[in-house]
Amino acid sequence: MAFSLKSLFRREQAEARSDDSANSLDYVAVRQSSQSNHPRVHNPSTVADAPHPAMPMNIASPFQPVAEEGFTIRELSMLLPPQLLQTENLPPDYLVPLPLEALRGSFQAGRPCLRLSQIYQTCPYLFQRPVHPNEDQEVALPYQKVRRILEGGSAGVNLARAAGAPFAVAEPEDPPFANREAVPSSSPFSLAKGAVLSPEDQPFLAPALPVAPASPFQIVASSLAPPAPPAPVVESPFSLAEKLPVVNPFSETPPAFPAPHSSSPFQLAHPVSAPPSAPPVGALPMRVLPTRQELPPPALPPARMALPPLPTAESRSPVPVVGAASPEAEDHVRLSLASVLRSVSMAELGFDPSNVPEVVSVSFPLSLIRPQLASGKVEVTLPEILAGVAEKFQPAFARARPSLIAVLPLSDLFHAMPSAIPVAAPEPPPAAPPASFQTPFQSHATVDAVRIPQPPPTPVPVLPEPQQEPAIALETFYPQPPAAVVAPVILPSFITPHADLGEPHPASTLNDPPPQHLPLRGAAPQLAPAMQMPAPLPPLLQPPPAATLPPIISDARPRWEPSLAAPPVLKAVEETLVPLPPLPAAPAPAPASQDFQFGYKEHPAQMALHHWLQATGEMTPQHTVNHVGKLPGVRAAVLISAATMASTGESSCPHALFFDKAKLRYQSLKLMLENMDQPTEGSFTMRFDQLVTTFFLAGDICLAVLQDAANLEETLRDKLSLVTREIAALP
Amino acid sequence: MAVVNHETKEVTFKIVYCGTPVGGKTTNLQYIHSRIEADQRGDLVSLATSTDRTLFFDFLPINTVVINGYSTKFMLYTIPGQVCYNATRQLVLKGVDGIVFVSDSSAPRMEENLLSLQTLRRNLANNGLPIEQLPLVFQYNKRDLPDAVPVTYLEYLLNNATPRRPSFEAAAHTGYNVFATLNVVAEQILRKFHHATAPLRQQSPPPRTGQAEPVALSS
Repeated sequence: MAFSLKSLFRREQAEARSDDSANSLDYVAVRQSSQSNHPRVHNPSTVADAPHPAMPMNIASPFQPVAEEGFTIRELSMLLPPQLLQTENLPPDYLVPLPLEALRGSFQAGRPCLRLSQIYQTCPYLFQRPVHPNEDQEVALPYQKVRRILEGGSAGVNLARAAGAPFAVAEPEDPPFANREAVPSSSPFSLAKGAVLSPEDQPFLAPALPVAPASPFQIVASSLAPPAPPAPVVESPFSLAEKLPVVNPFSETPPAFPAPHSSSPFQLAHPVSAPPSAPPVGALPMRVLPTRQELPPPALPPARMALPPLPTAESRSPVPVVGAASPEAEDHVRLSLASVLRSVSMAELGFDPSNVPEVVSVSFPLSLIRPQLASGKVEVTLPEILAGVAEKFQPAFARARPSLIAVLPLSDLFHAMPSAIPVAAPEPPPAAPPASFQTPFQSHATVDAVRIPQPPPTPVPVLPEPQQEPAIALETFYPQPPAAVVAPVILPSFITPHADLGEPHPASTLNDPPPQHLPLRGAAPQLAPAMQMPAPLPPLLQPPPAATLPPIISDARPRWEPSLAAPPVLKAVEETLVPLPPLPAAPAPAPASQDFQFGYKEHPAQMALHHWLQATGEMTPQHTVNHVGKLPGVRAAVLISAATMASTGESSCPHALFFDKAKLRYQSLKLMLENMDQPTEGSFTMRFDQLVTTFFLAGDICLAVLQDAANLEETLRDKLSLVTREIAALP
Repeated sequence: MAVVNHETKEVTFKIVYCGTPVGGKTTNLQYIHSRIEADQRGDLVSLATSTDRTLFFDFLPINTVVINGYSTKFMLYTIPGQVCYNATRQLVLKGVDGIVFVSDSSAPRMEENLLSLQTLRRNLANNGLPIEQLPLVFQYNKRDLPDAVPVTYLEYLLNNATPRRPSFEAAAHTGYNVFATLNVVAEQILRKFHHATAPLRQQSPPPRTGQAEPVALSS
């Protein structure tokens, strides 16, 4: 008997469920209120009600619970893409079932939404065609409404209470398989009033089935037989009576319900708010929507699974709660919400985090904090913040980005959880202390240990823990806009108000009312004027001075320069055919000077130095340094070679220090480069206190330059590098 | 590796101060520079950028100790903390003999401390120097800050390998434990050098070629 019933129910469920049958029990069910035009669920078991003409074939599971809240077709039609929507012949107030579990998951993620495919699987009659995977987008749902739905669905008080629900969970006095002549028409398995069916037409008809008293399928028909006393049903694996505690209605403490027997498909879910005072005999042969305690944990990483449950209507406290629930628990750490949100920008949060009072707290489980401490950074997501903050402040995060991540302040964290600071694993003491070596720094260390005390840490102002939770309103998160300040009109002194202006002319536009503009998504706060005084006019821009820098490279050759005169006007083509006047005769070439000689007489390095430094004559080291010292950006220069040392520049204080230390620093630089196994070529800029010196190294030649600024001009650096190279190439 | 010059009878060791940007590395060197006598140290030199090569670090030579007739020089370097100078970091870490890891005790810098230590480990590995074989001392700087995290957490975060490395709380701007840190890392370097050159001391006298001879200190 039991086997046949199970198989029957399974077949029934298989027909009604869609592909994802796992979620079919958690749908927000259709609420069939007193509306008369709502579509009915097509079910061959329903005898009394004929199907609606526009009735879709695939509605929700017949075993779904019913919630008081839901989305109507009208509401969904505004959310769904119009190219997919089909609402013809559908009642706009019809409550559409939505997958509750997916809804809960997205709500816990901080962004209530559903994918189009999820809605399609639930109510395909809303769509013109199946949802293609490419267009399977998310549909954002109103946060507050989803919250109400989840509260209604999770509280367990409103489940299956709608009188018109076709597959509502039956009341104890209204079992679906009651052995009676007429059952309420609310059940799909019920008969129409007055209808008489043959036993062949009624697969669930009780008299045809041998009913065991201890079976959960025991039919208690109060109208037909008096209720039997609860029998000892320990033997039955499907017994419910033995698992339910004896409830004292006068007891203040709620009874402890046993853990649900997960292996039994006939287990009974216990509502949260109203523990049953008597075994719900005959209530359910099939599984009921699990209550919040039985819901599977959210699909989150293991470290983030310790989220407190969603707040329910029953858990609300009339007293304003600032901290989260059970913050004093040892496995939680309580922080100031303001400090937690300090790392979050206003754009991410939707409100200014600086407006959050310091006394508002948020708690996080230590299981969330501890694994992240090894990375030196502890982050929490928006759902984790929502789970830890008081309920009354949760709506403040309605506009927060779902991807919001807040970095917890470690100092506050350690202050709040001093006993939970992780400690490195202890190390066994060494077998023998190593022999000490005398270092040059031993004496300094000893002196400093006596001379310098350990600096005490700067005290941190610690806010006192609020003994009594202050009544803080959510409005404190959103500061009031500043009051409108009427700025006095201050006219410049040269404008004097006219005393005899009188009324404006009837044709004047001053009589027209000010134009009315539609507010853009709410009226903007009226802000105070940013400035009450006429701002002084900025000074007129002066033209930049003409560049007076000498040309860096000049080859002293005649160059073609464009004429600044007016461009020639193009004339007609025929005019160009007029023969040009003859050119004047070219002057006779001057006789060659005796100094002029063909071929190179001087060394190429000398020529290059002439070229780079725009100099003439023999480029001796001193001569070269003198020219280098005249370059813009150079204050002094020293040329260091193995044999000679030439310098130029003033002998004032910084220059003298530069001259004195240049050779020593050059040697230090060479030593350093040798230690680093680097070639002693190139340019190096070094800082000595306030002096910036660049050393140009080429072979054994070093050209040290004391700079004017911190950064040497690039062209100057290149030029000096080439100059140094040419000096090194000099014979 | 230590550089031994038999002609000038000099042994040069290289100590590099690593850590996060603005963690107090240069402050350490500035304090050491201010406390050591002028005839025992060189100038504190900072190299800025140039076009052809990018070097930006502090350099402080210290010559003091005499070991078996050899004068000892300690070259103190800091490496740039900024990530963009990672090539310079590898360059400065070349041939390092000991490391002082200067960590910032400020709470918001914990992740940077950890990343800096990981980068140091990677750069040393690229130079063929496993960090486990180098003298290393942790200096928890800025202990006087109001948001300094507990030392136990810094030990848990940074100094959690076995064997545990010496560590010091410090405040570099006051000089607290600056020399204590340097003393311990120098002591470790000298001990390692002593063990590494023990076989050499028992062999023939050193050649006098005038060239510096690197002595590997790897254990």
